[in-house]
Amino acid sequence: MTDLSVDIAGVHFRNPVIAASGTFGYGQEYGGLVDVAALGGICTKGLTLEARSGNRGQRLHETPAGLMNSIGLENPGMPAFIRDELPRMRALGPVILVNLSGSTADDYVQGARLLSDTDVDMIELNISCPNVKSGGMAFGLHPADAADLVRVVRAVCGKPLVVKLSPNAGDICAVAAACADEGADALSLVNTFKALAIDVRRRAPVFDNLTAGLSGPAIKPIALRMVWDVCQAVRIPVIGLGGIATTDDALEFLLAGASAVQVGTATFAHPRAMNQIIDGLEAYMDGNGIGSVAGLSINTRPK
Amino acid sequence: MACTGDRAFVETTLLSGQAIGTDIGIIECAWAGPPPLPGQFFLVRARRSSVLLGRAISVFGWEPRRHGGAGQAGGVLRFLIARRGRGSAELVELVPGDIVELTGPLGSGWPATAEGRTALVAGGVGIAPLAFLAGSVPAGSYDLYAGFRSGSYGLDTFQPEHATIATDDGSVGRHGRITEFFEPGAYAAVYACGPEPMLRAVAKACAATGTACYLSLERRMACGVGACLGCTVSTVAGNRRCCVDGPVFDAREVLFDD
Repeated sequence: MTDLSVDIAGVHFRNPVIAASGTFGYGQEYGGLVDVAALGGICTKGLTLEARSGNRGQRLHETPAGLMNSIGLENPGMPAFIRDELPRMRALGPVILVNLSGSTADDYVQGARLLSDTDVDMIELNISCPNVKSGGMAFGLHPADAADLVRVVRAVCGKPLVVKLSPNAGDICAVAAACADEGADALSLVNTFKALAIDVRRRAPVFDNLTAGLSGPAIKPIALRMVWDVCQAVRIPVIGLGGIATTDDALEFLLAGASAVQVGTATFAHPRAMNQIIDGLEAYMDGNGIGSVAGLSINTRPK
Repeated sequence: MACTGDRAFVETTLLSGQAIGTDIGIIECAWAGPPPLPGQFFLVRARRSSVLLGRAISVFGWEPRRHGGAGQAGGVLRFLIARRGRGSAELVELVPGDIVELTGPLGSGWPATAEGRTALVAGGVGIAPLAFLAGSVPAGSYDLYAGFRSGSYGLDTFQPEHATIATDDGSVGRHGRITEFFEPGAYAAVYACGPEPMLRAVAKACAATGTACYLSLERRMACGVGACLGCTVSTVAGNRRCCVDGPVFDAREVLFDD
């Protein structure tokens, strides 16, 4: 009997497939195109304490097997999310992860306080958004900065805390270890890669913000390598993401030691990608006599 | 195939592909999902493709047809596509039998046409959603203004009271930009789709005469359903999503980039 369910930091997921932040809105948008109730979890668009209008200019640029985005954390603000979106999101069924971002440590602390008084299941601390002028990825590049932020958020956070890591860190394993040492319950990786595109006709950068974040199949092998390495570096659960589009992609991350996966850009091209991956994982585990998701890992994780 | 509610993701078969010159194509696909309204669009992607995402393409024509099993509704979707980048080039070059992935219908349609005379103002392939609109209103109830770079296309379904065609090179109709020949004062409402400079000029002219004006805007899109916030339109009420809050907007609300 195949059991697709996973428990991460005491939170039970019916299966290990989670909609990635920024690609699934607040869970309602894909109604009718995705079997939303069948998902393991949904991670919200990145939220900040105050409403933000995001970046100006072009926000999307497709590349070979990839997608660059420069949204800039457009969101209605945490209080509006809690009031307007969370009740509807709760009714959908899947585990709710709220992606929390901010410009300053105090922003994150206040956001975590607000969320701790709600019925969200987990907080995903976003120290990896490459598209904002302050905060975001600035906290995720060096172990000491990540540690400082996780420490103060941990102190006020009444929810299981997942920290979302940036592949742009010089040493992602060191950042991972710093987060784990400060009490992170789990890690998710990777966010987008900081990247550049230039419009040769206009002879100008495509994005007003110069750089943007690259996602999609193009980044998958690098993301997978980082997940493998981080799984060897820390004991806490790891949620793998970065370019996952198919069952085999998801399996690679689970074989590399991830406890669950997130799927993002693939949903844009094929709305039912996550549903197909859930079905595909079950068929693979059935066919190979693997009874639990944890039994998939071929990586050696520290005890 | 997912087909729930008012939109669906469906893999369908290309029924025909017709090239108009080198840079414009009309493709026809079988569609058994929810019927589209004039002004709505689909994300269109060839299954055998070198690009990641579907391209947002307005419906050019919709011909309901009974086919297949007992009582199964369906029809033929028609798209008018301009070759711009790799993704649109693939769509222009599709041949009958190719598998096409369609997500839709998406977005809001044109608002109900107003009492009185209306004008449809098109630039280039922007004629597509206006052709669909024209097919849904009485013949002769509107005037058509259509501008092209060179030559003309997509005009077959229009039955306007008056038609004004203009081309940049003078090859068809008047010589110049269509906005030079458009005067909104006589109309109760104006419906426009085309390049953004053209839309800005139409919006400005309509604002000057106090004429109601609706614009179908174009943005790069990823999700098409309001989730990714990639297709922002700046409006007097803040950011709006082109895919779900549009693509049709009241011109008075749109803030054009400088």
